[in-house]
Amino acid sequence: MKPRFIAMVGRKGGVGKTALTLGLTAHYARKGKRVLLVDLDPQGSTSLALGADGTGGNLAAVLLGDAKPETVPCVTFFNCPPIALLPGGPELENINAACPLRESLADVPADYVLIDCPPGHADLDRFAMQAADIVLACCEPHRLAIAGAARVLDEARAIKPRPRCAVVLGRLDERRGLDAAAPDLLAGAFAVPVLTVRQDAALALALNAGSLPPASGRAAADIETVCRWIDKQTEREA
Amino acid sequence: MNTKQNRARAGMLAGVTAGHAQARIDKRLALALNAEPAQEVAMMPLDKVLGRPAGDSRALDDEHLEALAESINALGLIEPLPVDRLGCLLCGAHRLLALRRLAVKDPERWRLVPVRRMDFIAQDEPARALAVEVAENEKRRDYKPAEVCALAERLQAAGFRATPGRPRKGTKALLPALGCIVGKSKRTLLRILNPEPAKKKPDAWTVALERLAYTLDAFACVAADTPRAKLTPGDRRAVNDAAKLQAVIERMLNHGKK
Repeated sequence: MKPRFIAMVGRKGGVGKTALTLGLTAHYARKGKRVLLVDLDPQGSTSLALGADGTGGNLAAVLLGDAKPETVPCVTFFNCPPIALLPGGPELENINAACPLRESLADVPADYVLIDCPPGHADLDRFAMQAADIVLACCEPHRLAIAGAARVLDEARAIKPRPRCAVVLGRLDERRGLDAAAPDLLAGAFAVPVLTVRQDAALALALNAGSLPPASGRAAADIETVCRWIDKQTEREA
Repeated sequence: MNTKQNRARAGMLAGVTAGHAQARIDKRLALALNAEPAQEVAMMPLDKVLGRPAGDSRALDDEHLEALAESINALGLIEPLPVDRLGCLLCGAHRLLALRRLAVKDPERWRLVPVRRMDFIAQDEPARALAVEVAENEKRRDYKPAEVCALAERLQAAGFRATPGRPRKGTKALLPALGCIVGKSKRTLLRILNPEPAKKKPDAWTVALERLAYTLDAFACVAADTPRAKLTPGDRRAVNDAAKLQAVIERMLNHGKK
């Protein structure tokens, strides 16, 4: 099976791109799927979150054609298959030509290629969305984050006429009136599915500890819903 | 539901609108980034090159125009004019006007001009025309020092002189003419045309010694400012040793300079 490319894009920082990426990774890896994590972030967020050093220019080297994607280091966790990671880092700032992300990674042995995008970087976002089968616009129930997601969705539509995309509203606290109203409000405004991931302390703890997000809990259940949505999209395609 | 809630919800939706507005600018910038590939250069009759349908995006500067006309007269048109399928100018209004002025004096010489024809119609695709203009103006060719020198030589051969103050009668000013071709400041041009002899780079050993001397000097300053009573015997020994080492290093550095 050819790998499915999924991009987590948000434009604004701190809206849960990396958390969602790792959440999806954990879900798929626990199901025995082969996951390749592509850390397209000059800050190296995914790499840092997984305990890699976040200075490696591996991804930059692959995109510039200086290295083969086979050389990726693997991160192994207890009880799931190894997760391949193409670490990001400051060298990604140098990628300014149209970078053949999809072509470079076309033959990697993976079921899912998850691309974690940087905050505030239109070019890298665009490369990720050009490569992606599915675009997840990450945001929080917050005006500034929503502006970022709107921007991303417009960009996705400019790249492909009918992109498969959804908004993922993260860190949702349904006890707050505004948070509870946000999914419906935004589904109307964006005209794309709005998926939610509820606030979950267990997820925050795991991300800080450098371990994989938990297999159970509020966030894990929500992320499973996101995965089901993704799989439904790709099934429809196939 | 209270008013605060309502306002917050409206604010969230305003976020969507703001994002759409920013995305429009993103799109325009991306268009400029993925500029048109270089088109083939062809010769075209000057009187067939049309002005931009929308008019010029900024006022034309007469002084610049004069210098440009002089340099084009001496060197010919170096960068072809980008035009659309119908021959409408996409950017380079100054160059076009300068050519037209030259053509009044010498119509035969300036009958044909080099153009780069792009395969679209500016009036039908104004966004694309704007993207070309933005890209052309932003990505102005960066002339290498050797190219600047070669152009300067050709201009000098045509009677342009780099003299301080106003050029004498019969000669023309070199730097303004050169500046409007290569788009560099007078200072940059002077630096390129009269390069300073390269300074010899100090070797790693000397650099290390200089750093050490600097550190010891800073240490001596602090030691001098500290009341002697405050220093322990160990501190005093350290100050003395540092002073001796400083003297040794100063000697080594002075020796190296000779």
